[in-house]
Amino acid sequence: MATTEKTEVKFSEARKQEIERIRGRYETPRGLIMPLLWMIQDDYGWISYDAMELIAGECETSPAWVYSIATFYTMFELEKPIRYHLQVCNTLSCGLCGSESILAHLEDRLGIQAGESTEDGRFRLTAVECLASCGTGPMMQMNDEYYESLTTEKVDAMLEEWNCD
Amino acid sequence: MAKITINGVEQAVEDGLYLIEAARRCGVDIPHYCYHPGLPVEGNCRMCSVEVEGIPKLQTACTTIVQDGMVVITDSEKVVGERSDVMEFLLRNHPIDCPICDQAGECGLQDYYMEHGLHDSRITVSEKVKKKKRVDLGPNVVLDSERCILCTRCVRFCKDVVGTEELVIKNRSNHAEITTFPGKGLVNPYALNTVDICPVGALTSRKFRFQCRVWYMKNATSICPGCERGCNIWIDHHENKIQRLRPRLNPDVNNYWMCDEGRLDFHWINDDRVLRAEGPDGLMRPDEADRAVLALLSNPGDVLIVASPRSTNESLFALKRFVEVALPGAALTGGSFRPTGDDDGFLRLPDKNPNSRGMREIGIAGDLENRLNGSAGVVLVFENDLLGDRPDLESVLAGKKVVAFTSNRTATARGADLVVPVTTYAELNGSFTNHAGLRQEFRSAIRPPGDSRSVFDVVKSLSGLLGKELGWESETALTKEMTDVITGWGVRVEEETELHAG
Repeated sequence: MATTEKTEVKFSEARKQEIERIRGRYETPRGLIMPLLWMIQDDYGWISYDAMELIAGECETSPAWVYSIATFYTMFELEKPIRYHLQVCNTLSCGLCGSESILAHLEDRLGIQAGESTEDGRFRLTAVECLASCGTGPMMQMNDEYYESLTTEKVDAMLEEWNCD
Repeated sequence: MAKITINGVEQAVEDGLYLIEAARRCGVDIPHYCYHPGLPVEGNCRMCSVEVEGIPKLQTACTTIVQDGMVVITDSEKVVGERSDVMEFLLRNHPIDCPICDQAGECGLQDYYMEHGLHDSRITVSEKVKKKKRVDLGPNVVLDSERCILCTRCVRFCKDVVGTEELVIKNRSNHAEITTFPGKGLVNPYALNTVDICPVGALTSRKFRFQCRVWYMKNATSICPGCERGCNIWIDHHENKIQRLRPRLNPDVNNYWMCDEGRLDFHWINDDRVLRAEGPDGLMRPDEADRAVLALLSNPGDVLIVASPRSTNESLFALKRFVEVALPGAALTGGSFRPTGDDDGFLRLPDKNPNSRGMREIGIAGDLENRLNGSAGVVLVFENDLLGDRPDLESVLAGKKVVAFTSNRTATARGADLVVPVTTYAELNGSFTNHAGLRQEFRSAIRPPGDSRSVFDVVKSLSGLLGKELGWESETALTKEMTDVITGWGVRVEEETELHAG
């Protein structure tokens, strides 16, 4: 199920101009590490190892050095943000309507247990407490949206859609 | 010179020194972890904090440069209290797994806890932060993160000494750990120096881990035979086996360092040795072997003697004298077919023999290949694996009687008619002359195994059988004559006192 997508990390032309503009502010190329980390985070939402190697090349330093700085600051996001966070209601009403089998089906289809994420970082599956939609159980929340009166067929259709974009 | 007062005693010290080094030269040891004289200073461990008059806060002696008139106190209640507090912080998460730790016995934490700590722990083992116990940093180095005190000596070594910058600290505070970039290893050819300079048991050598307790080992001063640099080393041995090699400080040659290749190349001394002389009729006693050699020397004009730039100066000098005195007419040549390496701009040099320059200066010609192709029917090969280095020479040696004086079962030994065991550099007092012409002495570390004799003893015995005298009562007399005769060799390298490594 898990598909690996590989985004090539690079600085856009505008970023390259910006880098040249600020380069002179720093005594050594290493000084650029922090602004470049911010640029990558702003552009991609997170900082991958590939991005660290890109930055290292730009700053004439080792990827290890960039890694050290990126891990020092907790403000840097070093894991790919989850794209689809599926929170399946586990509380009584949904439970009576069969949420257990929905959760089991999702676990089976995604190849992970509740509480885990797929390796490619696209899906996280969580069993949660009542989401106040007891009249339409079983239900789950995907990011900010509700999906209600679920059946395994409906779930399959959703996964099909999410997995194809 | 700057005049400083340390603990009430006025001393004159060199300008520009860090206080910690100035104090050491005045005989005052200031405890430290992150400071290492071969690395840039960082001042992160706080163990070397001392009082400097006129400055309200304690100062780290490793980052403070001496100034004229500076008054320093290293043993006040304030300083002693600070050390004890620093020790408590450093040991906050330490696993205290000394019984299974290789560093035990030479550990900065053990030593300084006894000297400056002795506090009772305020926390239980279960409250300590757990980290990874076995991280493979690279082919030679293993990390135990729990023992690490984050002094960054290893980080600075890779960054500032080798320039490869493989090691860094990731994360912060309790989560901080030494690491490489994900997917990359600590692969520089000098990586094992990080194990030496690690003041605790965090970095260990994969080869030495769990092999021998350090308090069992005895040390001998020696010279690495791995290339013509001649790095100064310690041979650490136990039960007549070499357990590990370590670099020994010599600012003129290798400073505090040595390469991994040289450091790990000692198993040939422990294993696969020739213990007894062997001829066509089987094993021989040394006297039988000498007579068998003698039987081949009846016509000196037909004899070629091959010396090796892996032999000591003393062996080569004795060999040369032997040919001059006892075997006039025989040809003496030297050289090596050992594959050369690269000059890596740091320590490793192309010529992988330790004594090529010594051999030249003693006056042994290097026309090995021509001589081998010559007509000599008897070839005495001393400590030289001709066939191992150049298998194609088999046809050249095929028609000749070959005597191999060798420590190991080399290809040359396997193809020889007679094999006579000799010592390695680790079993000899001797010297190598390095690429820069520095003659460096070393001491025997272990006993020669089996019937192994030094080349000096072998040629002395052969001369005796031939009724000739080499002219030296002992090796000391040989050394004296040699150093008198050869220009520049009389200069003895000053014995160094080892700096505190912990």
